Amino acid sequence: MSAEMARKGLRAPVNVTWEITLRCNLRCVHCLSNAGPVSKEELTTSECRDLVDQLTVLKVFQVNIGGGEPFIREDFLDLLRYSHEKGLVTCVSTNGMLVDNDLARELSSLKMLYLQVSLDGATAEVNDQIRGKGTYKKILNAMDCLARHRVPFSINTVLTRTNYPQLDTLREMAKEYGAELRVSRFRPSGRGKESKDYLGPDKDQLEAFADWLNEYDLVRTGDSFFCLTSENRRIKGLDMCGAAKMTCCISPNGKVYPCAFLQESPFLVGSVREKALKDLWDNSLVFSRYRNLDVKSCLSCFRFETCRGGCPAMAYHTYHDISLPDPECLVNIQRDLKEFGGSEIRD
Amino acid sequence: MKPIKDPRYILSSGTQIREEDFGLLFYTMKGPRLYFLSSGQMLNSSFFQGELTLDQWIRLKKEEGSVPEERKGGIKKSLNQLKDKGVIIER
Repeated sequence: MSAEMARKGLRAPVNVTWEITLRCNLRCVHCLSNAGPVSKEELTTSECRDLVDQLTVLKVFQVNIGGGEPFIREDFLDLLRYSHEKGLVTCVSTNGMLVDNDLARELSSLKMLYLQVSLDGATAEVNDQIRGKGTYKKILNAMDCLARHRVPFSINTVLTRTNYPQLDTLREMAKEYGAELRVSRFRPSGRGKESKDYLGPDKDQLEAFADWLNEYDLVRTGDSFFCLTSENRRIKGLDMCGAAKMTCCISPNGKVYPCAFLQESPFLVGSVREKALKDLWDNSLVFSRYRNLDVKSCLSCFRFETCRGGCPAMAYHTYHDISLPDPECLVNIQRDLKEFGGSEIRD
Repeated sequence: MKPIKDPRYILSSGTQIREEDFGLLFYTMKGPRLYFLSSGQMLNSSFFQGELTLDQWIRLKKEEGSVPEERKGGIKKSLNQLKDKGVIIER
């Protein structure tokens, strides 16, 4: 029912993903944004505040802030406070490199903040291969500081071939910190394009992961394992891709896209520097096409109501066509594994 | 706890509300979660200032014009569900 209402279109996004800077102090091999050096013409503090004002008027409930590393921006804490004053709930993704006791103390006073700390392995060997040498130790130190100052946070792990065997340990680690584990999907965008072949989870792992998710109810999957999750799990949260219907993405320089994984020219909606976000939300042809997207080849599938064709960004990055099914569709994976006797199949 | 006979409703702490074409959209920081209330034009966010009961609200809206009485039962049930989930509070 709720999905049907959302599909008909909302007056404004429910939440917005805002990549507030492209600047990053790490070079993670799977980074969806290819973050690193500062991008050209990032929004200034005053433009950021104006955007917050727009989001407030539109009654957007939550802003998911990532990048890049948001805490690199010197004005970031002020922008956070400004957003909260305006009534916006913020969810910030950080790599933890700048989180120390001082910052944790500051964050402990913010009540409208969710914090996600990225950790891509339960051991230094696995995590550091993805996020960089020495990062495991620093991330643990960041989480210690946050726990010490009672800042609620979740651990965000992008599922990869190498950390899949460590999921149970990661779940235990999160529990020890009083945090939630949130598993995100590996997407071949940004630097993920180059690392997919050796880091993307294989089909056996994806099939087993679907069962694992069923078993561990409290593990969150913030972004769209629609292609894998069961009906039981789906009713607990959003049961479709929300891009252009409930959410959209704003890049560091103010460009608007349906989602963070589709920040490419065919999906450029416009710029908040040139038009109001409300105008873009209501009148963009890109959004309109995206809202009316049908994955026709999936219509007759018994799982269609569960996944609706899965993640269009995955289809785009694999086939350059968002109207095709998610390449990691559970039905296709299971069929392939059955046909080929359960051995690993790579496209 | 004894149910309140003719309750008024307010938003719980951490709940926000928005008007949509289908009715009302609630967001709660617990989760966070979204809840859709298919109330059409029958309710708006000011109902949750807790000044009027549902009956009083409907009476007022009928005087203004366009509220179909037959939807009252469904709305009442939905409000109860939202209350049970901690999205709104009776008073």
